[in-house]
Amino acid sequence: MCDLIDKTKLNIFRRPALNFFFRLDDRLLLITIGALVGICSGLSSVALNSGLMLMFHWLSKLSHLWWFFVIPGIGAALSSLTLEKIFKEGAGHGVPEIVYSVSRYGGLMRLRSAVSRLISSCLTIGSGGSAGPEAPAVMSGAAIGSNIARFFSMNDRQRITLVGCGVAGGLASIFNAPIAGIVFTIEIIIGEWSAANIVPIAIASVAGAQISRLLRGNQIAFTHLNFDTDITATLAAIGLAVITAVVSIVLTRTLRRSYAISSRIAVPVWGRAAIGGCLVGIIGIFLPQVMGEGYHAIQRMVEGTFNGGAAIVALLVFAKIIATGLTLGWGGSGGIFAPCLVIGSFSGLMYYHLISLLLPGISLINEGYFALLGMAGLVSGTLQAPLTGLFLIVEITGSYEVILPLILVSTISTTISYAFEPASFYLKDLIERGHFLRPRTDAKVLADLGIREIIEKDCITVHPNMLLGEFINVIQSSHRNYFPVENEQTGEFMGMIHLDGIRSYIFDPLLYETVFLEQIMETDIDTVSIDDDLSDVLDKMDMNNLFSLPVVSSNRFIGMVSKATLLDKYRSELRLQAFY
Amino acid sequence: MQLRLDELAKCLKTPADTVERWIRQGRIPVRKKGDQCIYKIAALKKWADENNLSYIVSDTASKDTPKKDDETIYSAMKRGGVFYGIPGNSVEDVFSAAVDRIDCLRTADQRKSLHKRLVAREKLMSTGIGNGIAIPHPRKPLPYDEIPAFITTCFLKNRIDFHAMDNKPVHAMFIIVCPTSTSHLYLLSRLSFCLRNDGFTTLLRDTPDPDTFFAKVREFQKGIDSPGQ
Repeated sequence: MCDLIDKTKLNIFRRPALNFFFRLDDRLLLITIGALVGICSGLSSVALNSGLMLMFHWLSKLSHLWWFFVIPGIGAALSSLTLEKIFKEGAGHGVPEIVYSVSRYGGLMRLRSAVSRLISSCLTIGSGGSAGPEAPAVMSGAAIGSNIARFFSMNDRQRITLVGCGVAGGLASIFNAPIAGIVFTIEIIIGEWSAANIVPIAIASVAGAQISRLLRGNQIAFTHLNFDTDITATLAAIGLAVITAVVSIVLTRTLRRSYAISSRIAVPVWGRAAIGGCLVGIIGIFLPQVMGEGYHAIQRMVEGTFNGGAAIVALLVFAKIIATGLTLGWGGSGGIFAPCLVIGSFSGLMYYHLISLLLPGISLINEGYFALLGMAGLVSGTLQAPLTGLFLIVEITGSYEVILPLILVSTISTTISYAFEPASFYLKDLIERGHFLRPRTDAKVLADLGIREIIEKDCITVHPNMLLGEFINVIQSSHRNYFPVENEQTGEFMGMIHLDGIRSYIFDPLLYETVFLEQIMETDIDTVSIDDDLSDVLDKMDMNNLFSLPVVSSNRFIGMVSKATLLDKYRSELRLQAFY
Repeated sequence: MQLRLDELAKCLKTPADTVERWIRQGRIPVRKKGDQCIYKIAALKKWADENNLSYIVSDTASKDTPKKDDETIYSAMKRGGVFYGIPGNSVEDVFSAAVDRIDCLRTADQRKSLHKRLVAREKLMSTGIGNGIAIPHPRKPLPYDEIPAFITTCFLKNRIDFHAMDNKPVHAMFIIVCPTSTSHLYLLSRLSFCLRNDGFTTLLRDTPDPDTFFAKVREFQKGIDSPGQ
């Protein structure tokens, strides 16, 4: 293979790991490329935001039309079609896909994912669908990080870090919240705090937030009045935590139910999206605050200038939950972050009105305070990510002075929701399918090890027509207790002989010339295939109380797998899993 | 250092699939270029120590250690030698006479030690296995590392009563001496295979000359070690 000069130059560029500086320590490499990933994912989030604002601008001109309620339906249908036909991807909101890819495939993602979600969520949310732009931004960032890693020929471990960088950069950019970006990535995507990946992820987060500030200006999303908190307010927060936990559970279950209902309807996927969208539109005629992201409504609630009594607000909580279910559960594309924030602030307001009604004498702090805490409670309860909820709210409202009640609400809400819905909204699909693999867990080790790595091929095979006397000689030269029996002509696997089963016969010379192996072999035995998952293999062994199983594929005997060898390899694998 | 994937896997005593996966996942400090694995020896050794794996460059190892399993009954008997007309009227006397003639034993201490052990073993249980043949041996290996495994064949001048199983007096002895219990068991089983053959025992009864004897042993050797399957 002759390398032309150009190829060599290209190689050094494409394989920066070969560069002298980077070979000293690959952390420097990750930081540099992580910053690049952060910038790119920041740009894609800004693009998404601009797209959304553009769509709002266009469509608001049509808001006086009587058939306006169809617009969300059209938007959702288009988004579903684009995803399915043009990009050939499923409509999930993407975060579970990122987590699965990180834990199973070292963060491998398709390049088209960088763009597909941006476009489809623009169509869904921009037309009024009740979803958030954060999950698509995060998915886009992750895909960007993954493909930049591939471009630079990085290994799995490095690619996972760069996917994390993409996620952090995307989130930091769309919310202008760098800490939330870091915390979300570590809490949800990577799953563990590790010195090696915190630094590149932090840098990427900063890069993403910086890009956003450059292009959109440094504003926090929701300004607020200064709250003077006192002990009453803090105690009131506990009650709010319970309410938000309940609402989180309702939201999660509504979404699940909504998905179940829609999949039973016999129309194509885009048809369902259209129906869901139209229904959202109809709700929107009466309660326009449920459509789209809902950030305007949040702003007013946090400022304390929201017009609406207790009844309206309570209605809005449930209307928004249903609208979100209709959008996301029926095929629309978007994330759950923004709806959580909206529903959270509605819940907070509802609680404020409730308290005011029940305890009229108490002079309570401004309602904006409860709106704020409600947001934190919902995010923490639904995503089961208390730290993310906490830091996000602090950053997007600049409200550090309410940190004490914020912590209370986040943690209590998470704990209570966990009792009823023991899995984060993002991760429950994965957990149900058994695809949730965190480093150094049993599931992860078994997913990594393949049967090919533990198979033992030193069994001597015998034929069914062999006499017991000949078999005795075979036993003499073998190292094992199992002997597979193969058909002499075709090599087909016919059964197994286990020494335990024939111990009583092998010392009787009378049988040596009178017994054929096909009379003593066992044909009704459990086998596994070479492509089986090790967790299934272990289950089979446990169910039948076996310590060894033959591996048979296409009717041919390939080797044996034993629990003893598995333990050996399992242990070495576990020690190696310092980080994925 | 540059090795092929399967060679590196052999050095680490790990399946090739596993090593390939570790490289892909970035868990081992090895870079892959085509089917060549490139790494620094010191870095890999350190990594192997940290993770409880061994890293041994295999090709040197296999050349150094000679195969010890090549000991056969023929070579052991050749080493031990064949002696005729061993004098003596009792078990201890014939043992003394035989032991004195063995070339493999160099010092008087070694001979005394072997004699003592042969007598002790004989007292425990007779080594006469019938048909006029006995297989005396020390119960545990001799405490001398330098003595190799050998079988000394002795044809006795007088027939001696060994209190054998069939009560026949013994005229041929095979003294088996081995450095380890494993090799002892090995040679004993091989010898017993030969002695089960009627032709062989008849031959022994006629006190064959060395050439005929060793030719017959060589024949058996080939029969034993042809693979059982």
